Amino acid sequence: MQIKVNGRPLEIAATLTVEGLLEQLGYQDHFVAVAVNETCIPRRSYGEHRLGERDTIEILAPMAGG
Amino acid sequence: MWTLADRQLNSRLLLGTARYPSPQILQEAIAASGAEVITVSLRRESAQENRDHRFWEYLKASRAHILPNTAGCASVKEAVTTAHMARDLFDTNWIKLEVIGNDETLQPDPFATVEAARILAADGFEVFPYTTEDLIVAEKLAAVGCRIVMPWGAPIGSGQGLRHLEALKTLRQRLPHLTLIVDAGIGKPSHAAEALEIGFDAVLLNTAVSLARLPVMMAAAFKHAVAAGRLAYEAGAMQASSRAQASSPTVGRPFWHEDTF
Repeated sequence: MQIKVNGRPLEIAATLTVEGLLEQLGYQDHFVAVAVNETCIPRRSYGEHRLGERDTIEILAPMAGG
Repeated sequence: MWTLADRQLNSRLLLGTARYPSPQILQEAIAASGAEVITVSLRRESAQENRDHRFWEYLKASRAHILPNTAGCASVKEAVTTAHMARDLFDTNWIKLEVIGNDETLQPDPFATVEAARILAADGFEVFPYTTEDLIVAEKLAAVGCRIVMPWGAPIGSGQGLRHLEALKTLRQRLPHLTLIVDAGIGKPSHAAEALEIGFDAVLLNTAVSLARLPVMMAAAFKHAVAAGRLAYEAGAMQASSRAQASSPTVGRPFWHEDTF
């Protein structure tokens, strides 16, 4: 199924969780926060939250800021 | 010592972490500034970009409190979601709320800022809202649960200083129980000192340090300016006068004589 990650389309397996997506993208050790369809997914829920068709995912990391 | 939200701090300088020549200079500037609160933003992670992950390691090493921001957000929904993500990532309920209303001037959208602040304060966040010097907006922010309000001195990154000094003084006079922090527009240590002299609790600045020729030295300059401004506020400045008044006593001054023998 198709989702969008940080604005880019991505084809994934239908059973993927947030945790699985982070692993697939190589982010499992990255210090990131995740939102699905503009709702924050708490870290403790990564393993349970299943992604759905046409979900939009934001994966954010700390950056310099004022 | 002073209290910001529920934390005891020594420094009244909050420092941004953007646009430094290197992570090393950022780290040295934080140390030289004495700042105990530093701001960070959240941006999209990308495996394609070879991002310098030492940035976060340096910030952690500084041991400063992290104040995440919602910079770049243009709507209530974006800001609220970003705040939730920041809370999850940094394990803090502090959030510097920025909802930008104009991409050119980087002016905050006061209506969206108040609405986002209402939602976040009700959800347990300690909201640090970036706003203008408008008194009514500040009052609305307080009414929805903000204990801290951060009016701009001038547009972000402009370095113009306190453009509307009288309006900032009015905020201080009318809102004595709020923590007031000048956020944005400060370009020189004298600007920061002025904000503290009129009774603001602290200043938040970034580019005035990071774009200085010698950022670490400028960070130290701001440290002293903020301390001096606060001392001056507590000491109570004299009233300005339109007329000269001799400071040396006139009695017994030398070479004085009557016009006539």
